[in-house]
Parts: sequence; structure tokens; C-alpha cells
Amino acid sequence: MRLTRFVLTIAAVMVAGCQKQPAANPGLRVVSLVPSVTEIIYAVGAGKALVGNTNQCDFPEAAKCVYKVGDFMSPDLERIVALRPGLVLLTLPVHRQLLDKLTEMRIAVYVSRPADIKAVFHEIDTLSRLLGRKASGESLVADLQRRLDSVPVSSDTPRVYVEISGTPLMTAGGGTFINELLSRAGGRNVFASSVQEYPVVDPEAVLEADPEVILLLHPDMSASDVAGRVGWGNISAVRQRRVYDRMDEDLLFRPGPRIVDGVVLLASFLHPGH
Amino acid sequence: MRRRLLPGWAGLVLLFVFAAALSLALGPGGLAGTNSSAVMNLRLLRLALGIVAGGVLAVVGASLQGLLQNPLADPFTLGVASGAALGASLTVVLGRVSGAFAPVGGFAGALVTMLLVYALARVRGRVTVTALVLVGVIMSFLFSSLVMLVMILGRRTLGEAVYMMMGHLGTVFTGTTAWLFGAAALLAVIGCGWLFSLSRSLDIMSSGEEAAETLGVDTQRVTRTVFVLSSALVGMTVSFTGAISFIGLVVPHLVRMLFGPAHRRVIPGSFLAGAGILLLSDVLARNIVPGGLPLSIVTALVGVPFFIYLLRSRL
Repeated sequence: MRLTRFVLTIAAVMVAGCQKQPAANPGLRVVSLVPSVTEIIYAVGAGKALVGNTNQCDFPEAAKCVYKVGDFMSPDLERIVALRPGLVLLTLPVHRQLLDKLTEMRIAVYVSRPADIKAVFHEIDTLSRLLGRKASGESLVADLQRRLDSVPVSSDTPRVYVEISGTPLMTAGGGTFINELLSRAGGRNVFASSVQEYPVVDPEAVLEADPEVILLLHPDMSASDVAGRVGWGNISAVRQRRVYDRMDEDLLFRPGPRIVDGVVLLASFLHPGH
Repeated sequence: MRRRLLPGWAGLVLLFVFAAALSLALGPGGLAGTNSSAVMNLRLLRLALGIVAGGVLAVVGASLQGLLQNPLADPFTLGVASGAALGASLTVVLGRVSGAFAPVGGFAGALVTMLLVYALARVRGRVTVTALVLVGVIMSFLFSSLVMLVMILGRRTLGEAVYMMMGHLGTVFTGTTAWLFGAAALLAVIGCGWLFSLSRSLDIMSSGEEAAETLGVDTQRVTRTVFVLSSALVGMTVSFTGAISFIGLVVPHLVRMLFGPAHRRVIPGSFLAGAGILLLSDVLARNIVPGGLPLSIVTALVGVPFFIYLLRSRL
């Protein structure tokens, strides 16, 4: 008997998940564990539904004032449950254990895992409907699509080395979001063939690849530091002074509504003439 | 040099030359000769880093094993390597300018750890070898955790923490850090020479502290000197390469198998063998997997079976 009831509840949650329509309830309490999803919630005007998020959810400004359930990497289950959420938004593989526990406790979850820009648009659409903001979601996607289309497609694609850590050297491989943003902005990631998402690279391999543009996505190092590295003076990007630093990394790492700003930013580095 | 030791020395020199040549010849940039001089410069720097790191770790390991009469002692069992890693991490996280001050931080971290371990192990005015190793191991755990904490609080990548705790030779040098490394390398050679000059005292102390004192060796002074030198050497090395395991433990034993226990042979032999083995490990670590592996993965794969063998046969 109890088992039947349990199975039924699970089925109900799953059906709700499939139809993506618990948002008929205007008092839906939402907890977001993903900074990019938090941005989407505000962008579609559903900020009021958000009762909890993480320390890394810092955009827009209002997101900072929401109750914090912990870090993105290690949110606290007890704090989440205490909020009595109707829906928890999370991502994989980071929140794998949490997903299992929440499912066990019959709390509805939504897994955000967009693989590319198109999937981000699709997610904005889905989330806006889940949160009862279908119209604003649609207009946001239309607006983003228009701005993305206005980025010119260039036939000249410079070789780009993206550095996400200086010690050891780490870059972004072919399967990453940033790799797609780069190619959409008209650039070629020199480490696109890497099977790892964020591989460590040998300094020698960077010299061999001879990138024409270097993007520094870690705050502790400047373009002049890179120019001063032993042996790097002959790299095209260094010679042509096309090493860019201190940019807003969140535009490039967060698969949310600011992703198009990220493409525009990259295009301005890769094709300054346009 | 006795004649029967000649093949041993020849073997060590051959190992060293072979490892050095391989390390210059192979790399992700292709075989030597097909690439630019800039690539060759990088490999030369990497070679120098490998020689200094391997040599220093093995020499320090040999000296500590002799001093403490403990076959399992090395820079890591005394917490000095982890302390250095913590010092280097702190400078990297706090100093927003560049990584140029990391060696200074590593050196400071190692020295502070050394003083702390020495002070904590000092019971009723005497430092016993057991207390020293125990305190060292405990501090090593503490500092490894603190490295992780500092990296997380400093919002650094976990990759950086991993490479700091497991070691690599992929350090990217700027003009400043290259000079700094040059100075560190010079000091490392002087430091190893100094430890070599203590060979006789170490030989006597290996047979027991009390016996050494009756033979007129100032054991407290020798202990202090070896400790300060070791932490200074390891501190500088770790700040450039991160903490590389097992070289300091395994290499001196291999050399003792060749030459016997006399430190005047074990110390220079350890330098050659340590440098050679570390370079070979690096050749493996950087050429097997694209981008390379943390060095301790390779050194542990070789070192742990040897460690177990030592544990079962010598203790």
C-alpha cells in the first residue's frame, strides 16, 4: 500500500516534470543552485519566485540578496529542504548526489545542462513556461536570437588560445561552451581537438600552435605578464599585441541570457575591424 | 674511488645523460631539431628544473634518512614539502600581481614548518627522532588540507591545487622568475655541497645518537644544520615544481644498494640518480597523456611498490 502510494507520487512528480507545468501555481517556491539559471529566472521576470540560491549567484544585483544555501559546488541539502521548495534547479555532474536525495524526498527538480547556445535558448523557453512567464521568455529568446544573428560571420578565423589557469597552464577543449562561443564569434580554438573539457597543456604545445589571439580568462595575470614569459615572445598573438585580459569571464562561462553578450565581446577581440 | 665502485658510477652517469637527452629530444612540440629555438629554450629550462628538483629531493632524502636513522624519512615525512606548498599557495592567492613571489613564500613556508616541527618535537630540551617524524607526518596532513583550503578560498581552480600538491615541471617562467630560478639553482647546488660536507658526521650519527656523542659529534648542531638546509632546499624547489613524492625516499636506497651506506658516496650518487629518475618520470608524464600528468602519479606508481618492499624487508 505504502509502496503503491510512493510509486504514484514519483509518477506524479515525473509527469509534472515531463509536462513542465507546475507553474500554474503562482506561489511556487524555487531554489536555484546554478548561477546561469538564476540569471535566466531574473531575465524572464520570475525573480520573486526565487527563495534560495548559491553564493556564486551574483547577477543581477538582486540575486545577491536571496537566501544562500551554500556554494555552487557544495550546496547544503538541509538549507534547501528547510525552504520547502516546490522546484529545485540544478546541474550535472556537480549535483549528482543532491539530485538522488531530492528525488528520494519527492521534491521536484529541473536539471539544467545546455550543451550549446541553441540549448540555452531552449532552456530559457522551458524555464519561462515552468515559472509561468511564457510570454517574456519568448520575447527574450527572440531578442537574443536577433542579436546573435547580427554578429557577422567571418571567413577569416584567427587561431585562438584560451587560458583559464596560469599554473599549470589550462585551456578549454572542443566540447566546452566557450569553444562554441569562439567559433560563433569567428575564431578557431587551437586546442579544440582535446578530448578533455579543461585540459592542462604543455607550454611547448602553445608555442607549436602559434595562436594569433590569446584570451586570458583568469584574473591573476595580465597581458604584459604573458608577453614576458620566456620563449613566448615569438608567438603571433604576443608579437601583434593581441593578448586580451581582464574581461568579464561570467559572460563566457555562464550558459545564461548574457551568453550573446559573450559572443559579441569575443567578436570584438577577434575581429576588431567590424 | 675504489675500483669496484666504478661500474656503479658509470651506470649513474649513463642514466643521467640518457634521461637528460631524452628529456631534450621528446616533447609535444615534436622531436628535437624539427622545432624552433624557442621550444628548445623551454626544454632546456625544464631540464634544469628537473635536475635541480630531482637532485635536491634525493640529496635531502639521503641526508634525513642518515640523520634520523629511519629508512622511511624524506622531505614529505617531515612536513617540509607540504609546508612549502602552503607557503607558495598563500603567496599566489594573496599576491595579486604575479607568481614571482611564490618561491619566497615556499621558502618561508618550509622554514616556518621546520621551526614549528622542531619546536613541537622538542621534549625536555631534546629532540628525539621518533617525535620528529611523528610531528612531521601530522603537520604534513595539516598543511595539505590547508593548501586545499587556501586554493578554495582564493577561488583558484582545483587543478592548480592538485598540481601544487602532486608536482609538475611545466612551470611557465617569466623573465623575473627565470632569474629567480637561476639564483635558486645556484643556492641548491651550494646547499647540496654543504650537506655533502657533513657526510662524516652523518655516517657517525647513522649508528646512533649516543654513540655519535661519545665520538665527539655535536649531534644537536648537525641535526639543526641538516634541518635548516633541507627545508631551505625543499622550500625553493617545491615553489617551482609543487610537491613531488617518493624521489626523496626511493633514490637514496637505490644508491645505497650500489655503494653501501657511506654518505660521501650516497649524497652525490643520490643527486645524479634523483635527477635522472625525475627526468625519466617527466618524459613519461608529459608524453603519454596529451597535456601531461601530475608528476607524483608517475613517481608513486614506481615508488609505492618499492616502499612496500622496503617496509617488508628492512623493518
